[in-house]
Amino acid sequence: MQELGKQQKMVIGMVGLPARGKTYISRKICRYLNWMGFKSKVFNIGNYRRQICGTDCNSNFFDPSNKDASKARDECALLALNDMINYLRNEGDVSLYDGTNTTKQRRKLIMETLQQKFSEVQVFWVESVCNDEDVILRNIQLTKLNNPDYVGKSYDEATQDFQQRIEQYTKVYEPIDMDENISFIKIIDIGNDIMIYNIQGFLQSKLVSYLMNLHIYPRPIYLSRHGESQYNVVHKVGGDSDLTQTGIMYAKQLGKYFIQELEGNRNIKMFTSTMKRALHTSNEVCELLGVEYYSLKALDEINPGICDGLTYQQIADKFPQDYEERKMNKLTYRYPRGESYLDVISRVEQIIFEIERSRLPVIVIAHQAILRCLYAYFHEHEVPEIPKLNIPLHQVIKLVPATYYCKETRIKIDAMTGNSEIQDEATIKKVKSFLDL
Amino acid sequence: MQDCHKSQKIAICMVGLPARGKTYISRKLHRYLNWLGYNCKVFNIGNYRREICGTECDKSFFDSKNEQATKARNECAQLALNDLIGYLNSDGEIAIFDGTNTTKERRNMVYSSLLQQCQNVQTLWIESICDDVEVIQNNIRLTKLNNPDYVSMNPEDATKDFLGRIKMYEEVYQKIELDENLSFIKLINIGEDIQIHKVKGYLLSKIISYLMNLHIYPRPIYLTRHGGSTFNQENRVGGDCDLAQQGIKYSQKLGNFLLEEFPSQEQRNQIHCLTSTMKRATQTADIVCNILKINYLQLKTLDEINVGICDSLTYAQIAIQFPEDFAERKVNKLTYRYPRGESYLDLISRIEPIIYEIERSREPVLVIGHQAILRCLYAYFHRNEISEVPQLDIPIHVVIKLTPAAYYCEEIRIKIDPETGDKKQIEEDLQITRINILTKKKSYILL
Repeated sequence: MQELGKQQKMVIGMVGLPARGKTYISRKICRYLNWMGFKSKVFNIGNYRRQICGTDCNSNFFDPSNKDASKARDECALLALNDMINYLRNEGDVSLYDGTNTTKQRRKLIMETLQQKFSEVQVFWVESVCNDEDVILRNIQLTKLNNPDYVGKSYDEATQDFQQRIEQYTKVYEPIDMDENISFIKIIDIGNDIMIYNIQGFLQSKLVSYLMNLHIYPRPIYLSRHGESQYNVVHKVGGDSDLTQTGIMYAKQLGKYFIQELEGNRNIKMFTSTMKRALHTSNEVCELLGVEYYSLKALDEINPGICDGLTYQQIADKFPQDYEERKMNKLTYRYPRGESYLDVISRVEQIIFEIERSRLPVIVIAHQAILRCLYAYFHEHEVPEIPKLNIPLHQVIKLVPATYYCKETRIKIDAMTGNSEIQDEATIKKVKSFLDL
Repeated sequence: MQDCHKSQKIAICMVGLPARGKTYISRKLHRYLNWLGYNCKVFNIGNYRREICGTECDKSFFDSKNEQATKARNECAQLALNDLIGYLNSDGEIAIFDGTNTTKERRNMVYSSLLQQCQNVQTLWIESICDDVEVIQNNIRLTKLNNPDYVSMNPEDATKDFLGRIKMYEEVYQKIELDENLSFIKLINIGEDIQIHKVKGYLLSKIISYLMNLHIYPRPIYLTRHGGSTFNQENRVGGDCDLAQQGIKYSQKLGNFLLEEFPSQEQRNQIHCLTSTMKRATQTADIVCNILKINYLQLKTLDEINVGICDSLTYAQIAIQFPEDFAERKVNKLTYRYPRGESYLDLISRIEPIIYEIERSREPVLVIGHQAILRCLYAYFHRNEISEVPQLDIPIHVVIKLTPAAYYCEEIRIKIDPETGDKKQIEEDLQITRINILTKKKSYILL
């Protein structure tokens, strides 16, 4: 879909006081765009500042009347801007300029620099405004206190200094005004109020729809494949086979797992596909839980076209060229009369919106290729990795969105005994350090 | 998708001065929501007023100081509201209240009535604000002068009176404010500036996304099937076959036809050409776009309906091999899903993003698709009932040109002979006809 409209390169500039969720939003957008196939990268001005000016900057550094510091900060902003333009000139499609950009003057500077150096680029601003003291304090606790800026300091010291830093910014803050003649979206109080001005183009429309669905409720997302199916046992692809006995047992154990896990809460959203193996699994689970599920064709397994019902060996024998081609390029390879992983990503996008929007726990019972795409989105994998992600049978993947990443837990459930083995990959892989951004 | 979200009823209320596009927006939404499968209906206060108070109302009728008239107008609004509430309390799912609703008092009345008398209803207020004089003049010209209110007047007098009417409303206009505690979206200057307040929920979010893409550029939309294919000739379904000779000739003649429609290369370069990933469609697109010297976009979402196990069979063979399925499909062609395949409802869900793209485009769009796909697309633009979709007539070698006009789509069907290139315009009985101003019949309510 993205090719429609002869896409221009795009710069998304963030605007807002500290602790308003700018980095959270830029990373979400970056995740979404990369997953959709647009090469995106976040350029965080704070990181540049830390590298150049060091991490020992207390709130005085941010005082607008501190001339030396202001000069240094402007330089950092321009450095980040240059890197951003280089990225777009080379392989990038979208850059996110993650900084406060709180004054009209700073925004004007950026617009003018971009006009000069890279006039073919579209610019779109996202301003996050928040006046809820509780939310701000929570943001500070969750994201700032782990920040390299406050390494040696105590909790109270750090919080106080950061609040003073916010005050320095507040002194000069000028919210985006329509007379600046820029395209923007203002998100106020986490989406309670949204103002949109002069959006143009396919991508900006899509981003606005995406941003309207974001929230910060930490609801869990459970992903599981259907129980073992008859085709799984004989290693055939495609088909619409039913569960084996083992598969049925897994479904029942899965139901029991959820009963325990949800602790009496039945306010959940459950999605599954229209294929027998998934429906059968969902039926078992829902009978035990006493909830209803939604069966969506968009969650059906990848369509293997003419290879439907064959084993991998048979495919290698009958269609050797296709077999080779798929091995080389599993992401873009499209089964004749069937689908590619890219087609599946496109298909599954509406589910992503549904899951993002939901403030209730979500359970998805689906298929391997589908879950690879969903999982890659939540777990921030690179798109080329998707076809190889490990999503085994009889395992539940529990994702809990935390500040900048998803806490992941994998629960292996033995179909016979119901024993569950928990593998906690929580903080190991995906806590991107601030300097890595 | 929509079954997930049918728990609450929804009332959408329009707000705005006359000639701000409220009825246009109501009807667009009505069409979109019906097409998605929701029971939706528009309740236009103006129609109620015309029935009850007659159509001889000049601008003084709308003067807020005219007590009798004000009382009558309030009664009309109340009647419309009652019908709306009745609709929602029975089988209606979404109701659109199309009126000016320009005072806080009126909005409060409507909102409280809805909350009290409807079980479980969500409301969304859509305010359309426009201060571009040209746009307003254009609106008046296109939609008001044909209005039954001005049957006996000449255009100049009618325009003057209508502008006077707008002034009456302006005197008491109160824009929606935050303290009214309503969920709203303000569309300012046709979507240049949009303000959204407290909008939550699947359907409301969808409606907002839809509204953001609307505009009033009258760009044409061309729909055509691929040229005749080998399977078409054999009466087979599904498959991924090539074009037949006839099909190739049609594609060439189609290219020539479009050359005439778009005389300059600059105009041609603006065309968005969309097609599917199936051979018969891409081959047609290849030929056409070669002649026009433009590119086309292949989208898997435009692929023909997936006929699952019936792929490559003729209808006769399906009747013999799968008699039950054949009978079931005849009875319920809309919801019937081919085993391992799709139903028309699945199709509608699948091509929804294309509708957004076409709506958003301000440039001409050419879709080279397939029968079932085009039935769904056409039904959206032509405002057909969803049950009619599987039977719509979309023949081979015919181009359907749709030009969105005030409240409907102007449609022209051109049958192109693949051999001779002769073009014959097929007269289409516009289902949505212009108001028959001489008879003042009730047909205008259907608009």
